[in-house]
Amino acid sequence: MWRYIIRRIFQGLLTILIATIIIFFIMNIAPGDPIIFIVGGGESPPPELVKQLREEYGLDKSISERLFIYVVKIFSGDLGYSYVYKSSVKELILSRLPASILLASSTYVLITTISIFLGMIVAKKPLSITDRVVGIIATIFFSFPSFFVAQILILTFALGLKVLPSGGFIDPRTPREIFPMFLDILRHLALPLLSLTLVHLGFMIKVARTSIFEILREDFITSLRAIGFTEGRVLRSAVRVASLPILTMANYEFAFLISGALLVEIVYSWPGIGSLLYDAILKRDYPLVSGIFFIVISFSVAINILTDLVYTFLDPRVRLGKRAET
Amino acid sequence: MIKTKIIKTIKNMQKKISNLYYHPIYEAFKMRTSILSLSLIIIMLLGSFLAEWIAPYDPRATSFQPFQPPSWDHLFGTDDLGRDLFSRVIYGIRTSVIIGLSAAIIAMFIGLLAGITSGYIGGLVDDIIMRITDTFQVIPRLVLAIVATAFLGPNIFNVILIIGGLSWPRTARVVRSIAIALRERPFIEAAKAVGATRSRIMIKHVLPHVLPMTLTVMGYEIAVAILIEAGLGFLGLSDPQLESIGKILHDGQRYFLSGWWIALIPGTILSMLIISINILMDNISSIINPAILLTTHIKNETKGK
Repeated sequence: MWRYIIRRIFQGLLTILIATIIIFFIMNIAPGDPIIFIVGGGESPPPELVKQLREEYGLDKSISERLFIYVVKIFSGDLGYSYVYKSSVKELILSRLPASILLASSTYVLITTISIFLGMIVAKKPLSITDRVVGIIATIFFSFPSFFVAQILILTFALGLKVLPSGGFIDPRTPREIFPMFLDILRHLALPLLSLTLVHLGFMIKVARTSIFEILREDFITSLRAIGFTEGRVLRSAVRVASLPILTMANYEFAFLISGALLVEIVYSWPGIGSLLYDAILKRDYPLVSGIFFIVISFSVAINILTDLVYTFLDPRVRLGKRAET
Repeated sequence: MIKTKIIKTIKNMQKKISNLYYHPIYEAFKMRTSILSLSLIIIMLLGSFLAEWIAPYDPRATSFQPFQPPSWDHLFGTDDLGRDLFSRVIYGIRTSVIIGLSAAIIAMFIGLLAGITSGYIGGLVDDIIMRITDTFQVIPRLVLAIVATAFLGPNIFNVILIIGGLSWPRTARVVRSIAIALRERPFIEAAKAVGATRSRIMIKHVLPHVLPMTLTVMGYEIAVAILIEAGLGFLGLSDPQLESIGKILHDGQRYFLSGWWIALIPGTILSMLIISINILMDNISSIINPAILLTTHIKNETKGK
């Protein structure tokens, strides 16, 4: 058991390490001299200055040496300094993280409940009309680009019907009290939440349908029916068993939600990591871009490990090492 | 007498040929949803290959009145600079198709190579390849694609290489699971007994069996690649020389109030392309392997780690 946990954490760190190395090499083969970037455009700087700056920033060291320094710094929590915002990358990201997590976690709650509910209805009668219609609708929704769904919703609800704000996090005119502020954030959250939910729901419905359907074919369901359980109760028992794989899948999806939310955040100017990344790209703020990348990756890896560990506690088969070898 | 005999043999041969070429995959193309989506895909493919002849105007010509709503002259209207949106969309879909296809082909090759080697050889090789696959599966593809394109520059070759280089893990996993199952089959044993080399077995005997599933996964990867390309374009990370639907959607967002059609129509066209690909692939995979796509995916994700 402990060996498994340690192995998973080690694997996770390895993943982050590989990702960091990838990003380091991408930055290295990127065109353009970083010195020119620091000095600024215009006339080419005198060679002495270039040499001095190179030594100052450690650019005269060999590539392996720089890789080592980079990895050590990143892993010790130093994400660098943003020249555009004149602030440390870590603080910038931390200030934007809450909004992103709020959006992603509320989406997570919505998609799991809705998908389990719909999966239950659909798995009862596989290949029926409802099943096919829900299947096609699910496919349609996960085919839409997330930012396009966001745009459609803005056009209808914010600009057409004028019932919800088209973007932002909170209205500056709202009184600074808990309850009105909460309501206002909720109003601003509604559209981004809806867009993300629609896009990510499709996949989760398919997962829920397959899981519940597979459980319904197992022997213990037949025995429950033989005992005389009503169909409703049989279904509820099946869902209870199936919710484990569904929730696991949803957790992996949560890791992708953080990143999938990026584009939606930009459409709604939601003050999360996504809009920060967009600004960073527009302003060519490369330390910030790579810092955001590192944070998102670490988040995904951490959620994945947590999910696996929770799964280990809930499903004894994993603990005993009888993992399905497929 | 002879004549009937000839007719009989011809009919027999026809039957044999049709049996020979019959593949259950044809059933997938008989579904109504498949026919609809296939025809949409074909229309868009034709439109993008014949873009020069079909587009009524030059997509870069800014010679028209800006913000014209859709009309017979400008089917999709004109944008903020007075460019004809219909022509821009045709060229934009062409970019999407080129990037989607090339990236998916790259991903397929890497996935096949990794999957067959990993599944057929097994052991330490399998462990190493699967760890790398895990890593790439955990890293959110979109984010890495955004960051890499931002650093390396958004020309079309970079975009293709980046998306292709990030999209192979799913293919590798599916291929690997089939290859593992094949390893124990008698015809592989027979080939080994005859003395076929490992690479020959992998190419001649394993590859044909994994190909149908690989192509299905590739279809899905085309859709994902098109989505990522649109996302990159939306962030302003598209080749400045080429049209991109993502770019149009980005422009459209700024002019929501003056022209709803600028974002809405191109976005709908792009979504229709992706929806068609996904529905077609759903139908095909429900025929060739009703369970494998979703269940192995779930099993790998939840237990295989």
